[in-house]
Amino acid sequence: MIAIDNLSFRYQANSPKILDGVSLNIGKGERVLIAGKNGAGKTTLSKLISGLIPRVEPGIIEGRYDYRNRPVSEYPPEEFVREIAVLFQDFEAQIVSTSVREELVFYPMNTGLPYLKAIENAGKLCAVFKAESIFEREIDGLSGGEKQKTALLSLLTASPKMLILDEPFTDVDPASQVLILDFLWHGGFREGLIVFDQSLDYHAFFDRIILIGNGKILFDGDHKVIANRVLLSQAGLETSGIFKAVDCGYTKDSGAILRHIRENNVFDEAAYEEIISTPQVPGETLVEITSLSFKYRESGMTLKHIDLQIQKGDFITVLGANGSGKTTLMKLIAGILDAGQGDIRYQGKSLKAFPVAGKVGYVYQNPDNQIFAETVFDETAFILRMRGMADAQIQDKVDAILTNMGLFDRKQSDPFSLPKGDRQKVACAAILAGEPDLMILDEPTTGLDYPSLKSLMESVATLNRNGKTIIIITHSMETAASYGNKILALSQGEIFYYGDKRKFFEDERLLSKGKARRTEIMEISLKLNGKLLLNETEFLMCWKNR
Amino acid sequence: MSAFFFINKNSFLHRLDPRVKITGLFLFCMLAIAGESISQLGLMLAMLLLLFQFSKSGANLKKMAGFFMLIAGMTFVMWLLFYRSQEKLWVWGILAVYSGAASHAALMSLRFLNMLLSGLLFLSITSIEDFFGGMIIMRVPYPFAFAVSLSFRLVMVFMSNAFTIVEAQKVRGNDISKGSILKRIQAYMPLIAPLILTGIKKAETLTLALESKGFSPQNKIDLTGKYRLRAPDKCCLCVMLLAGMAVVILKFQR
Repeated sequence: MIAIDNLSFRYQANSPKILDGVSLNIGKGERVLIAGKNGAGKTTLSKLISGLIPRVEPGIIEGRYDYRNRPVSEYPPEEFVREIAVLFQDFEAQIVSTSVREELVFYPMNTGLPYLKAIENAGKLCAVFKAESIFEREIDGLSGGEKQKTALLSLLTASPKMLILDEPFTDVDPASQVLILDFLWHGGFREGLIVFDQSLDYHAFFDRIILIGNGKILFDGDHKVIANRVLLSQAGLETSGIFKAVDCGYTKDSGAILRHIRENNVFDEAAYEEIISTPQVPGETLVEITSLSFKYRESGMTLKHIDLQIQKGDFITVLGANGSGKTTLMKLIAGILDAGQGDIRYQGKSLKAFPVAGKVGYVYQNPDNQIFAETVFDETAFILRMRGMADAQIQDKVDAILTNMGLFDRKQSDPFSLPKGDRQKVACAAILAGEPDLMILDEPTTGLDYPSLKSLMESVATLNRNGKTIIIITHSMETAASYGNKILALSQGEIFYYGDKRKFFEDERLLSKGKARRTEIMEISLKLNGKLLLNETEFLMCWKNR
Repeated sequence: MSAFFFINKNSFLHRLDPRVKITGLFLFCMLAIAGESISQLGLMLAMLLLLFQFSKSGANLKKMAGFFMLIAGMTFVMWLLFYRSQEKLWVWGILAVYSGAASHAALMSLRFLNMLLSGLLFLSITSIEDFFGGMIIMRVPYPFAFAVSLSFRLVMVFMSNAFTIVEAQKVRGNDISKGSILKRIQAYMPLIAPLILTGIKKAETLTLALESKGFSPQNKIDLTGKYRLRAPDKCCLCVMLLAGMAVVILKFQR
């Protein structure tokens, strides 16, 4: 269906090529995963395939793109949008109506279908995809996962022959991530599917894997690439699942992987004992929450019966399904929202009487909400200048923070020109300058590729080792497994688990309630000898080469 | 924070056909302009407040009360100071209050307040889609109708964005709600760059989203069967038509 031959694209004659000599054929009903790091050219390729480039975003195209044996440029736009539908990474911004019902008739009505027919089709589609429960609801009251489903259904209303999903898993909890692919498959979507992503975590759902880097196709083939560390490293991607820790070549057969490990590795009991017995030294209480309840007036979303103690030096990972109250609780702790019933005490003092601005730092999911200065230095120095600190002191302090965050060589750069991972670091640095004792990071790794994620999280871990108390909200099980000592899990506005990370991942019921899942390394380690290993580091420490 | 004014309730007013609601909005604005005495406009104000109560939209009234009172108060003060007649009642430097200024200021203030309340009532009982649908079946050209509904959507997007940015800056100790006026103006500066940047990004995505869903100003939208004028709608239209005619006749008789 899609035949791309030696296609290159640049926005202007003097700008660099975003896509460079891409050749690609995608057949009817094929399910393809196209993976690459930030800036690899994924979104540009998705826009080109869907025709948004050059229809909406003009630029210079070289090469050839045929759809069903006909050049795309020959298709009238209204015909082409019925053929290929695209779900953007920012799927919320793609919803143009205020209710699900209206959203599901917008696309077909713009392709000429009368309202009554469009609404009948939308009802049928919801029944097929078992989404009747959201049909009459307003967009404002939907959870993130439900919004994503709505955006997806809205595309399916036009019965496209090809569906493109651009990074569809970034903003939703792990259960919803699988749900999106299951949703399409079990709903009977058998047309072509192209998913662009930064990870290979869901490779098993696809027939074919393509790696893209610097605008070029680096690999186009089968699942064997999942275990090819060299190639993945070139593409700036992380080896998926168990292949991070075991070099056995790709196989779908988990039995073969277990056999390989048992034959080539030996379990070090002493190392395992050392890992699980690492003492948790109780620190001084930093935040104490008692009998807290909170309700949003507009959406009605609530937090109920929250009791929590956060110790100084903790590194807590907050987990829970979309809409479970994670962000609300953190905003209450940061003093952004005023506590309803109950009390929040910071170092023994109630937030109602003593505001915590400056003592608790909050880094938003989107760094662009915070950044405004012309240079990284000025951005970081802002809070210090507001406090009237002398220039010489500011210079020393900002330099130290930027060195710590790995941004020193970029201190004169325009923060908006940096990649998202670095912008996220700039936002952290700007908050750090205020010397908060506690830093809360709301989904800091969203939309980051592996190298940026690793670099950011290592910086955060360094802060924790230097005594800062850290809380991160995340949907990434890999991040939760690799960083932090405690898990705080919420469901429907209530804390149902707060404590040791290992115990959380050991308990199936807790995982299910928190819409969390074990990583492949955890699953394999349990299958090997019933002993849970959380991440690659623990796995390599315990399963040593013979 | 919700930037939506529409409150989804099942009241008589909510159930009305959007054509009736749009006609009602025009009629109320016309009545506000035509009203020539405080008693007439006061009566209209009371009626509007009753309609808010009747349509269970009091929450919006509460939300906007401060802003509307500020506008009404400012209007009153401006007219009080700039209305001119034969007789000066009070002079202080360049400022003077003339006879009849207070009643005229109250009249203008009520007129403006009634128009604002009519608009708020309309937005409280009409979803954007119904507003758009109403315009389409009233033969308003599609590009214009869509531009109006899109502007509402964009305002919502920008408002919720602005709210997040203000919050993000507040956490850094940059609070626009505290300090002297000069400090507050300074505090607004860091909001401008992220507001513009994220605003442009959101608007770009919305454009792409509309294009990807086949939107074009040349499209013909067929809403046949979506709206039907029922007996209550027809009754309301008749009442409004009669009221409109009565206002016109009374106005011309004078």
